[in-house]
Amino acid sequence: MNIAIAIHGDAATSESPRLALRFARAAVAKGHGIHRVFFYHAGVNLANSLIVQPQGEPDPAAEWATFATEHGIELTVCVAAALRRGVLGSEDAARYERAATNVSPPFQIVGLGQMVEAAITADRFVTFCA
Amino acid sequence: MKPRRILFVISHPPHRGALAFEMLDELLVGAVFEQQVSVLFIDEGVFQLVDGGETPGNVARGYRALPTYDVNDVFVDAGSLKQRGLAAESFAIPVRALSRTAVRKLVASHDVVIPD
Repeated sequence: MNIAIAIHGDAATSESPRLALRFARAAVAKGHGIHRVFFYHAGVNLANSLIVQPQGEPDPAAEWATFATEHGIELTVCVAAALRRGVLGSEDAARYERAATNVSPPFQIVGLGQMVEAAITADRFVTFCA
Repeated sequence: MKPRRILFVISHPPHRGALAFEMLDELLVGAVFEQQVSVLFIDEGVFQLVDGGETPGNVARGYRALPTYDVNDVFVDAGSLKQRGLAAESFAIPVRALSRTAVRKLVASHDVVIPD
């Protein structure tokens, strides 16, 4: 089964990135495919490469990046939600004349249409609320 | 491809930062993609339908755009209204009130359910 995942919370204020990762690992272990993960609302903060987790604490963003790279999963981030929260790819930093960019692969900034497309095409669309 | 039936479930109150507006954006994109979009307001989410007038962050005004996007299936959980002393007649847009049993059937009848 082809599963798409939406994550609405960030690591600092929610368990949703960690719960979603546990779900994704279990799904892949059962032979299901995960085509795309969509970070929306505060979930876009996972793409902020300037966030530093204290030593010894879980780092869901790093774990998601490793897992996605291993399994060829797209980690997509809603551009509008990201701009609101200071999560900027290089194109957006240039367009809005900001001094820095803080998004790097495998996270990629996309439009909201990508999320809806995933909801339309995947066999299951699973949301992890904040 | 046959359009999917997508149900957005709004259960958070308004005035919690960008959450309400970001859900509305997503819902409208679903409608633009020509999917069969419905929306259910339940629990504290019913407050999003109260028209706060010129109050900044009044998302109820945004929901008035739904008919323009051919989204006409707007539901509320009747019990949530009753618990909060709200009447569907006072909302910014026309809604259909459903019993909990009907809410369960509504959820089951959709291909995709997206909570806020």
